[in-house]
Amino acid sequence: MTNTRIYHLFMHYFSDTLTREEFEELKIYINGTDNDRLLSELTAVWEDYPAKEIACDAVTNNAFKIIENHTCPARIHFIRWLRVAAVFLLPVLCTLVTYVYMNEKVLPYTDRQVVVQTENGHRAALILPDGSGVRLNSGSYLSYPQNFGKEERQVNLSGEAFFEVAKKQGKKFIVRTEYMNIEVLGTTFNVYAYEKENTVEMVLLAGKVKINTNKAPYRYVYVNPNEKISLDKHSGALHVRKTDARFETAWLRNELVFRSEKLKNVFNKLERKYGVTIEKENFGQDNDLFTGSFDNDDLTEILDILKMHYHFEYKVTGNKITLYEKK
Amino acid sequence: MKSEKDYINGLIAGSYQDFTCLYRQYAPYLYAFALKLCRSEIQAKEVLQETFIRIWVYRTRTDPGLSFKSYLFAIAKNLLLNEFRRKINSPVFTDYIDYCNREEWSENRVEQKIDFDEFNRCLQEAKIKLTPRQREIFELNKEYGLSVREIAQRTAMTEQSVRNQLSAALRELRGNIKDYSLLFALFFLL
Repeated sequence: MTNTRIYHLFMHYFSDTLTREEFEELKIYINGTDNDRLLSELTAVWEDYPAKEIACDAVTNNAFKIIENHTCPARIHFIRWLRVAAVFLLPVLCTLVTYVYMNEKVLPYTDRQVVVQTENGHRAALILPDGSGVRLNSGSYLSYPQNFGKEERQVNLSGEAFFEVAKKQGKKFIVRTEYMNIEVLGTTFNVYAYEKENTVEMVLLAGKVKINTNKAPYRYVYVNPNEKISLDKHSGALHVRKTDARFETAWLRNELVFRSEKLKNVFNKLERKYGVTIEKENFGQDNDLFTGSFDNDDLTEILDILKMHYHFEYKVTGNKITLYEKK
Repeated sequence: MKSEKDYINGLIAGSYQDFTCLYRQYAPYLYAFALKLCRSEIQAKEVLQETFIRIWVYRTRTDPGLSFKSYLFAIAKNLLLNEFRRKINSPVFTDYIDYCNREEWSENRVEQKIDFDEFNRCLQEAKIKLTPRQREIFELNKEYGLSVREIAQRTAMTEQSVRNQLSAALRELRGNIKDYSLLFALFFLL
């Protein structure tokens, strides 16, 4: 099937001139071709699609309101709100001020995003408005709208966090990361979704969750307790494995546990936990595997142990650590 | 006067204003394309929403080398394609395509072509009026794609009886569908 034939069929489909036979031909082709190939053909259709005047303002305006709910940053939304409210502002303000003064009640929620961010070397814990608990590991970012929990419960996460989600009848709790969404009703789980790492992982301790992937190939899968799901960002491969949840949540107890972990990942984790940068000179052992655990807090002790296994020396200058391979 | 590049740079820098402008400019295009591809208003709207939410949330990843139109497609394409795959494998979608192709539809027609969701809904409502036997035969032929012979074997009826039931079903459906244009769509070849 040539490129132009498919383009031709798509164009017919779009202009409602596709015959039954052509439709069957298109259907067979689509079913038998993977996404990547199809996308390049569809791109040409997209570029050439005639931009007619389509009356869909109502739809796009409505859609934008929903988009705002998930994205709108504080200041601009506040200004917009203010403009609308300006008409009613004065009498409302007077009443409110009196009310607040008399009753010390809280003013209405807005859609602003609440952001919690940790740098390398720091962690955070917070309680969400619905009572769910979140513990954020180093180098992570969590955001949620201030009206979280009123109609739905959604948070955006980049990095690693441990969730203890409160059961709220009918209100799904959704964690959105770049590559996968995790949908739960009430449960305890750990999410590992660092931007710079190649895999995205989720471990379930209790309850049940549904994972949706955000990028092709689109899949969803249900996960049970003590199972770990891991998604390879490059290949799209999705695995579900049984695991020991205690090992996966070692960071909560300030432990560092490694099982056949590549050294370069070990150093990444050390960087994140201690808030240092580790530079390597002439270091050829990045892909060597390391198994071990540390529950002491002293970075130099950890480095001393590692240097005995892997024959290197290190030098500390402030927050920077340089490793030299020992010959 | 801002160029598109300015809006894109603004988006990357976190300007919600620029994001809004890009939305106003390109949302109708994406929606129309999604609607034409997926034939469902609900799904087209979801693709629109999900795409722009991602564009904002991952705005720092925006590729400044692409035109926004191309970048938009890069974000939306998988969503679009997966919906499309599901659609073309839906039962009676072939008939829906026929319905859309009728020459009676011209640019001047006041009535809008309905989308696939609506088409299905009309069909389901009309099916209620059929006898159980007619409904069964209709479904086996139209929704499961079985031929008259296969249906005959499965139901232990003669092929002629199957054909009779199917004609009766179609006659009944034609009589009941509100939108008369659907009549033509249901004028199936046996």
